[in-house]
Amino acid sequence: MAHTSTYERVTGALERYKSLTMQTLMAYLPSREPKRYLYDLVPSYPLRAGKGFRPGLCLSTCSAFGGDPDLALNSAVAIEIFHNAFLIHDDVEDGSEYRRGKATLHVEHGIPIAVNVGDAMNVLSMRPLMENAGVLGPELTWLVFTEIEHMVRQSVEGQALELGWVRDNVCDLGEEDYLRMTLKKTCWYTCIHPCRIGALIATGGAVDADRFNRFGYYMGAAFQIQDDILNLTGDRKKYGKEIGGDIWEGKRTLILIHLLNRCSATEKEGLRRFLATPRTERRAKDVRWVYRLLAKYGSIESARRSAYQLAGAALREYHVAYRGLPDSEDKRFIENIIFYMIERTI
Amino acid sequence: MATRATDKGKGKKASGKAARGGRGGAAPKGEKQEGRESGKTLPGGLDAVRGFAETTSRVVRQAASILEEEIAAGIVAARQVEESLINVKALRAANADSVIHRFRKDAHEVVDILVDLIGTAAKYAEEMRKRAVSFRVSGNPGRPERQESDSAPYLKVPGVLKSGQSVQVPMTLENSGNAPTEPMRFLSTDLVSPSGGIIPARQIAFKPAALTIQPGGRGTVVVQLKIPAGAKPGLYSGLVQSSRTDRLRAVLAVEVA
Repeated sequence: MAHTSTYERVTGALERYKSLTMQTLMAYLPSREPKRYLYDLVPSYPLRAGKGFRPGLCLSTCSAFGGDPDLALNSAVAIEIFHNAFLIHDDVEDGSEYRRGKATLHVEHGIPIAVNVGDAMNVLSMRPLMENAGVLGPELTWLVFTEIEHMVRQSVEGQALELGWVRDNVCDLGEEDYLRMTLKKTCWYTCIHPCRIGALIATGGAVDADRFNRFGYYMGAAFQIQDDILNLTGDRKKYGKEIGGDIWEGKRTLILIHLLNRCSATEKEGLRRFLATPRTERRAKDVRWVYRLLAKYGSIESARRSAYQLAGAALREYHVAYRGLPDSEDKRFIENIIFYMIERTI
Repeated sequence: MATRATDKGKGKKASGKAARGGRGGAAPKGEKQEGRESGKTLPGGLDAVRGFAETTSRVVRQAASILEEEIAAGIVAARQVEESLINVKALRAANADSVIHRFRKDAHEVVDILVDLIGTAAKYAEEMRKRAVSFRVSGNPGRPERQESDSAPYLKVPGVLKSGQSVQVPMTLENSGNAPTEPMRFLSTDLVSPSGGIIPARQIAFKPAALTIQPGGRGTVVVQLKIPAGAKPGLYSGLVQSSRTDRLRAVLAVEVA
């Protein structure tokens, strides 16, 4: 009998959660004009091969806490729509060319149309949250809404930090700056709030949702660092984005920050000049030079070690956040997703 | 074990030359890049993650500290206060314990001040203190007793600070009356420790310097504390007081390593 690996079990479960989420998500999309310039484009990113972490964490946590995952579907859908809206706008802000293996929306349809589609998705995410009222009752609906409000606010604040560092060519950042930015930009909305919301819905608001903060933060940071590593070393066909894009964009990843803090003064000045050059004027040979520096100082390996350390800490916190719950497929999925976060190639 | 073997295999694809510069740098835009580094210095898979779960590394300590700072800065606490304020009438009527401290500014005036966040912050400080203790690799793992004053909120600075370190603790106040408050300034006494250590009041500042709160509105004052160089270890405490009312006060405490 063939053994199913942890990796395959996680991807299989993610597929199931994503399928469930997508069915509901698609039902929320309007079928009316203007289709060509708006509503036909709204499903573009959600239908691409995303991993579906966020709804997966939300639904599985709800289930692990003894709740009916159907009750958390609206919230999972809202999170997923917000996520895709972020991606559209992120791609514009970063000048990215590929997303999930295809051209980014603004490359395909132009920046104005893409930005408006992102705006529309932010608005469309409101509807499932409103529908919660009929399913969860007013108090729990409001509780979920406050979670979402915090989630979105943190994400845009984190994104502002990252964009600001690039715009102002900030080069004196430390590991702690990156960790704070990642907490805000990624962790709250990728891991912490999906878990919090799932458990709140399962328990009718009775759970102390703060039990997920550390678990979600460590796991989210490991996820983001792995994403940064894949961006530089991954397989474009699997990863779905241009490889090395973060260097072209001058993103202040943990990898780049490690390099900036360890290279010689001359190299740092060269990096500063490279990062001050507008993206469109950066040259491939300079990007290759940055890659060589990263190798020289072990910056990618250092980031990988940090990702493993954070994943280890997430595993420890998992046993705190999910303590006392009966064993279940969903609970095991959540434990295994920690491993998946740092071993994934997509 | 088959599962582990498969797990490890998933993580080891590709040469890793790119990351080490072995393929001549590369990754020009749109060009396919070789896969991950070989990972020779790291064992892959779930075993490696489990191995790291047994240790507490610098990056994890930093992350824990940042999370607690963010919470202490009011990101979560402020939202919880918002929630409690939404139901404030119900809380007042049905659950007095939820509104931890209520101060009447003056017996002849109708301006009440709710110091919800002080209570919330105290709760969080307690939580964070527990976490910090349990998180420490070494030292006394004993859990501190709850130290909440009956007469004034107990505002404990999260974590353990070192001499020379600075910290900010927000307090949000609500004016539940129907008249604006007069501009309130905040003062602090020296903080003292049982062993006779003193953190002078000049080490404690408040921003903004003066706070006026409109009827039904809220305002936040941030307590800024700098531990002086050479401060003796110990738990320091003192009183934070509003200039406009002698009943708007809180016990400020900070632990110095």
